[in-house]
Amino acid sequence: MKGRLSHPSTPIPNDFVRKTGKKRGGYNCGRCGLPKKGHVCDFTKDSINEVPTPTSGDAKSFVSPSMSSVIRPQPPPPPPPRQAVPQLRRALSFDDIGVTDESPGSDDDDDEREELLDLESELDISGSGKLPANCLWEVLKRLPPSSLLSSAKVCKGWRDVSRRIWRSAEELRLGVPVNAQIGLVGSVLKKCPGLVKLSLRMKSDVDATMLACIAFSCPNLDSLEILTSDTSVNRITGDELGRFVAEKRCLTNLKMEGCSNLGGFTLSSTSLSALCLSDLFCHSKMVFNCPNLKEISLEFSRQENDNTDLTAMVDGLGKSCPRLQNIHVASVRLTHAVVLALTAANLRGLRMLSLVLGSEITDASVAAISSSYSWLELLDLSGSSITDSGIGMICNVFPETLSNLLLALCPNITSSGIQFAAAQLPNLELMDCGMSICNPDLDSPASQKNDNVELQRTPSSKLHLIYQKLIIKHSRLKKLSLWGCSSLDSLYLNCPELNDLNLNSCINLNPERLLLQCPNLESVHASGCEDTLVETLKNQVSDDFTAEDYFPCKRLPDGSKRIRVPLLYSPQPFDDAKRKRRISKQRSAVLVY
Amino acid sequence: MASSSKTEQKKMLILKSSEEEEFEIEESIAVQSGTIKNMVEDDFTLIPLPNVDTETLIKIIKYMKKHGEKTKSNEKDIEEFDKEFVKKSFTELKELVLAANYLHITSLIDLLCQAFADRIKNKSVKAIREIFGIPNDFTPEEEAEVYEQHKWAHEEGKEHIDHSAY
Repeated sequence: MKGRLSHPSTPIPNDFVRKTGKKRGGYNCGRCGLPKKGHVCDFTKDSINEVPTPTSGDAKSFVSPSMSSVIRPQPPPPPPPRQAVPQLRRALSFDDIGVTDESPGSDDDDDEREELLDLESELDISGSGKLPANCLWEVLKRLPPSSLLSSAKVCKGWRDVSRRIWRSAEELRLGVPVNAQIGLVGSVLKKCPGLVKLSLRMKSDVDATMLACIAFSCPNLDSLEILTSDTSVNRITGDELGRFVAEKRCLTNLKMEGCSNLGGFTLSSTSLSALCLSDLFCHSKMVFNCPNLKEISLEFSRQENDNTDLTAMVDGLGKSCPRLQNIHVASVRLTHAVVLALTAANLRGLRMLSLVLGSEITDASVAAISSSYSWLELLDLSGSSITDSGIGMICNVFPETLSNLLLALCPNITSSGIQFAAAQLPNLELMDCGMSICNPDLDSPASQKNDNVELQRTPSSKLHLIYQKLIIKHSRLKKLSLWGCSSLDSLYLNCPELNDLNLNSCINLNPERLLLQCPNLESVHASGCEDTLVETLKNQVSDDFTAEDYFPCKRLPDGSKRIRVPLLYSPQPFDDAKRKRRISKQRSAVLVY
Repeated sequence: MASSSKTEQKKMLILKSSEEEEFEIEESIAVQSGTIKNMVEDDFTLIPLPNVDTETLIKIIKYMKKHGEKTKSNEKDIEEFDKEFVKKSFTELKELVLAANYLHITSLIDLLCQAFADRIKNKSVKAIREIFGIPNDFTPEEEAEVYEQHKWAHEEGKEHIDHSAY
């Protein structure tokens, strides 16, 4: 995808290739709106006086038919700022307009020059408060769509500049309000025929008329996003979507939310390269005839009774989209059979695989995946039933390539599995084990009342699941997420590259059993944690202390050192003078898939 | 061809405002202005700026000095400076943007235009006209036409939360 960054406060037309559109027939004087031919603009004299070179006087008197040529010998004034040349030209050309019969639209150069003239003609330093036109352009282009529409109503000059900005817009993001009529969106889209990327956040219902409107108004569209909200329903059907996709020959990216009404569909497109559909539900047929599809993301709704045949879908996907590199499927109905269909497809380019929410995905599925796709860079099996042996298999097969491992909400893995993964995967940069080291039974409010009693009754085999400890030493790990790991009791991290650590809701993490040696740590998330823990985190993160001073290590017979997480240590005082670290205590809730 | 001696480490320039006041400034800092840079290439050391009054020139020199010392470590410092810099009245900002435009200081033009955009965002048409002192030059027919073409389900003055992008 093209990396176009939108300015954070102005998510609209941002990128333009050319400032001045080639407008044929620029007949009207930019100042007064009357046809240029044979008229002397009232503003002419003012503008000539504003030209900042002393030779403006010369310009005024220099009247000759040959002036229609752009090149003119530069008089040597005390400062000859090169940027003033267009102003000189402008001054001359106003004379031009008054005297010669300049036929507009003669050739491109002239048109462009006229455009330039029109833009520059806004310059009015006498103090009525107008901005120079190129500055006006810079200001207006930073406005959100609604303000840009308002700005057109200010005066003619603003209307013209605003119009040009729309025309040159390549990217547009609109929030469509609750009672909007299709005509409104249509009228906005008509202003920007060069649109390449469109994103609509719908607060009102959307149906095929919107697609038709888009198809009609945006011939060059390559990226489309239709996002829904709580107040809107997406009524587009599968047939309508299929038709849209088939007819839009240059569409490469499509993202659509609220797809529950799609029903059965077939999407055929040779241009489509990234597809993202959410809120899918009950699709009798899901066919993707997109040979160039590289990324696909399918999020199914969590409702019960979803009767979509995932196996058939994945089977078809494997056959018709051989170039897939990233696959993401989120559905509670994912099973081992689906995984088998996927592995049978032999997608050679597959680098990122994410099959989440499938509690029926087991270690056997991991075995299948690792035997068919040994070059994965990202593997996400959150919500599955894999165990530590599954992790073992992952570490066997993917050590060279795997950089992202996500195993959140996997109740059957333990901290040993996680430690093993961290130790065996040298290229790991992101690991997410949220809500995996926790025991929901123990944490439920009912049991907490009888806490002591519960503990006594818990068999010793399970006791180790309650007080879990995690020791991770990794040279490349950048992001680690342990949110919701309520069974986590001690944590030791020695990760020089770690930037982001998520400990939200690690309610049982003992502040005295916490040691962070991560000098590059930028943010630690600790919402829902005890205050003492937060304090400890703040202290640790703000200091750079070395390991050796700090905790006892035991030398083992084979010469290796086993480092024991200290039971007691005294936190160092918070020192502002040391390198600054941020702690962000976020109010965000725990992410649950 | 260079008139400055090669042993001189810091070449100084003199900028002269429209009110004939002169200010000395290091060349390395002053060339943040494209206009000045061009003149320096043509060997000028005294640079008259008849379009820029003294007050504005002082502010611009202050900006250029701050941005001339840009290093990795003081980025936040410069951000703070920029934030404070645009806390000025509209008239001052207008003078600044005209000067910055004339002097071709791209980063300053961007900063000022962004400040303008932030201020007129979500303002009504009347308010914008007042701020800039722009008269309504539409004929009634033209006005009706432009209103028609630029409709977006909102009324003047209301909060545009739904329509501005997220």
